[in-house]
Amino acid sequence: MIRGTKNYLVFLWRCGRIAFVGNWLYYAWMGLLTMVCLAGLNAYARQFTGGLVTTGMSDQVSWGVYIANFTFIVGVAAAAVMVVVPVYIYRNKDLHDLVIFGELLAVAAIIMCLAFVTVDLGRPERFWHLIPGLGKFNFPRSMLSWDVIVLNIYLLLNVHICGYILYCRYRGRMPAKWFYIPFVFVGIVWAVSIHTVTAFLFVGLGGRHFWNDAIIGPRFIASAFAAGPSIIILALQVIRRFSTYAIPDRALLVLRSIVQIAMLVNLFLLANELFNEFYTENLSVASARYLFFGLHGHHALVPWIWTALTLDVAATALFVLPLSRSVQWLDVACLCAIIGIWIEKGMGLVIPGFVPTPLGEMVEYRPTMNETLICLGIWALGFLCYTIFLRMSIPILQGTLSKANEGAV
Amino acid sequence: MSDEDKKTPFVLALLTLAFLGLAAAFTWGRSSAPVAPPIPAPPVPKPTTVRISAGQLMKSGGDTSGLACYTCHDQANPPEVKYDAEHRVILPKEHSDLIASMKNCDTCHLTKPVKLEYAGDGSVIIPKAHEDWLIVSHGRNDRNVNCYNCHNPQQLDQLVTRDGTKLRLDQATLLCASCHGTTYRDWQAGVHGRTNGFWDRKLGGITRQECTSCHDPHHPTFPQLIPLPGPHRLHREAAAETTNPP
Amino acid sequence: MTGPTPGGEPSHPKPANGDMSRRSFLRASAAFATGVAAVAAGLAPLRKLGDYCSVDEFLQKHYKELTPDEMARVLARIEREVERQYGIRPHVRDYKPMNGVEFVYALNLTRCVGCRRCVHACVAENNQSRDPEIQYIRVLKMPNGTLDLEKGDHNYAPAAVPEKGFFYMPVQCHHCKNPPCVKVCPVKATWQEPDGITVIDYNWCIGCRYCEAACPYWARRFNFAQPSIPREEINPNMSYLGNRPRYRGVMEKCHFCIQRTRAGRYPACLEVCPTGSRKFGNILDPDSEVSFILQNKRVFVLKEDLLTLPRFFYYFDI
Repeated sequence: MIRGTKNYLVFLWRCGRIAFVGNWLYYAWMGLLTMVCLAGLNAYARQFTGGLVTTGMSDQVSWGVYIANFTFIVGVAAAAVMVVVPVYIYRNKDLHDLVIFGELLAVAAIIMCLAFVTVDLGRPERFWHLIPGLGKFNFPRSMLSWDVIVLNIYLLLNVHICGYILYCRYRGRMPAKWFYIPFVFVGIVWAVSIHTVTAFLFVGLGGRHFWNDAIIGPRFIASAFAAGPSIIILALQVIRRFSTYAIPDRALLVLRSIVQIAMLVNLFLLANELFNEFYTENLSVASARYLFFGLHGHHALVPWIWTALTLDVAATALFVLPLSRSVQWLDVACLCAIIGIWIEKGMGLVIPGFVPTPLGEMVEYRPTMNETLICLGIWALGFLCYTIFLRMSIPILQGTLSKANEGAV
Repeated sequence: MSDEDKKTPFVLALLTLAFLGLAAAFTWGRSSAPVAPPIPAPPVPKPTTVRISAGQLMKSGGDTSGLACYTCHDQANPPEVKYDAEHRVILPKEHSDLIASMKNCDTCHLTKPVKLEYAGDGSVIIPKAHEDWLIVSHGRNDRNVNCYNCHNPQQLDQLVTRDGTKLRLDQATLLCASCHGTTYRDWQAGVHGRTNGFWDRKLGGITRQECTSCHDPHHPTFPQLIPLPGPHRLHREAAAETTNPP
Repeated sequence: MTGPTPGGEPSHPKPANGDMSRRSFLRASAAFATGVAAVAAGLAPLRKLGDYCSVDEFLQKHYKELTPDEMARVLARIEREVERQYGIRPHVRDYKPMNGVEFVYALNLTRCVGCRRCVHACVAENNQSRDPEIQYIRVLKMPNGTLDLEKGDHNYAPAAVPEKGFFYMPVQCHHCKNPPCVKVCPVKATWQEPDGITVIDYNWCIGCRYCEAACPYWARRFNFAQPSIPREEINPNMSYLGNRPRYRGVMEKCHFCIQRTRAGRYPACLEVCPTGSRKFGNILDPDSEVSFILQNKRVFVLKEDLLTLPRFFYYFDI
């Protein structure tokens, strides 16, 4: 027992140490990310001191880029598990190790989600009010309470699976199937649930007709399963380029086929939504009208959404064409998908729900510099976490960091 | 040493400098966000009425000399109803003091205090904007403007209903009720006109208003008020640039 | 070499004991130390934080779980905090709901002239922030013939009201029987009391603003900054769930002037209305004004299709 604990602590210590070791490119990258993080931390200190008035939010538009980014990143976290499906459901053993990279991405993404929600709170020190038993938890009526539960359990699931497999690999042991396979399958279902619960946050509000629509949930899943694997495709190429870990092209193509279907479904659902909003011609489509065409002289989001749609269509076309079987075009398609979906799911979903207000007032929203710095800081935090996770896991998977060479380094 | 290794100390040195620069920027950097103009403090409204009724005047112990009709009038000769060129009934100019003194200027003019002007003989000059106070306008198409529809010509400090019931000046509500029955019914239920005090009558009393505290019987349409300022947005410096400023 | 060698051998000769050379250790430490300094400097704005919250306030339990003793201590603490912040000695009480009372509000749209005295009387009575400006009541100027709220004008400023061809509709918290805001609050910081008032525990709210997104009547307000109230205009008669000064980062809204109505009085908006458009009372009392209105007038509610079941009824007389 005590030796087991000591072994584990040594393992953690070595993992921690290796995060600070690398070549000049590594230091430059981590240094840059740290600086952006610090700028975000400083901006958050200003926000904590001055209140949320330092953001561009107001009573009329009371959620902004924080929740927009949160919504997008929850989708990425959910879709990271999409790497798991071909491996465990289709028994594609060659891609086995990539499951780790996907789930580590999910962990980094959940950390970003928790950060985005924390910076959005008016009284973050009162987070303990959310802890069941300690505080007063409005489960099951409040969808936000569901979100708190599913996100944290998803984090624990992925940390457990990755942690266990990596530690077994470090020890040179075969992982016991019963200790992680059930969690993997739970994780697949759970991934869909975290994003559906996040969608239900919006869908459940009857007073906001832009959100109170059954199609929001499916659109969330479809766009998440397009943007998430796109990010993983790019991340795998970064791993391939900057480490000695070999990523087979077949892995990228499997993910590509997932994104193909997801993008097509996403566009189909979008077409459904557009028909619903614009054929009906009643008062409840005011928000959609504001988003796509402007309303009562306000049109700040119109260029954004049309850019997003163009990128989405371009990405779909590229993914469907055999052109994207080549890595360069695949990268272009992934970038188009990621940026397009980030816009339409972030600003294109959250902000129009508030414009016009339930009393018909038109107030637009523009994030402040402080708000943007905090967002960039959290994105940098996510990249930082994921880089550290990769920096720790790749040597373990390759065998260069293992219990066997504990004494040497 | 290879090129790679030469770069690492260089990068670390660069990072050290960058962190120092960042620390300096945090400590001495100042945000140059535009400052919004301060919101002018609006007045705190009080529960007044637009007018003082004759009854209120009497109860409050105010100057009721204007209501002593026979100081100027002759009991034997009821005054003649005067008409203007468009055949509208004019309230006598001699009554302008009485008219003005029974108005609560502050209730309507809450944001813009009123400065009254006086004529040589000390009587108040009705402001140009309110010269309509001197024209009687009661009922649809002014069909109820004859003074003696309400005033008793034989006893000018009395009011009289259509069926001949005599009322005191402070019983004007019953006179109004004699024609405006449905409104009177609502008023009795507490639904027409303001009630101040306690909704829970067991814990305290209430104050109701007489009809003539809000409605001048000679032009009963409720007067226009000057509105208090509208809402100010949270981000006013940005709002100034938009097309519909607050 | 084409790329970094994570965990591999560095390409320059290492000292025999396996540690980094002293030079590289110093370099790394310098970078690390300046990084820590940058973190400290980054957190520098927190110096201006001032009185954020006391330990007692941080650990305070939910309103519904406070024993009478604890509540008395909490009220005393709040009185001290308000005195320290504003220099006046307030009287903060916890008013309990009365038995057999369910509040209902009725508003006569024929009589409302849009003068906004209700808005500002509410601000004065309930110690709302003047800058940033918080107003619980929003008056809409609507053109005759429509209830399409998009056609409402919130910023009308004519020389005199009412204007011909328009009617005026004040909107505030409707204290719905089926409140969406109560449903969505993750920490139960807002709930409906037995007398119908939907209240907020300002010491429990975490400021997530989900309730503000959920309310179909845009009735809830958030303190985006530290509220500012002029000292001479503070109303010292305060209640825990009502008009005590709120904190930065929490929600607030109309609470039917709980410090007045639970003592049997009319709310401030009603008391100041020059035309008597506002009516308030106990719907369970058949002799109340609101019972008369609901029985005899053609009342309607806003957004009835949402089935929020508001306790705020509008009607036209003429």
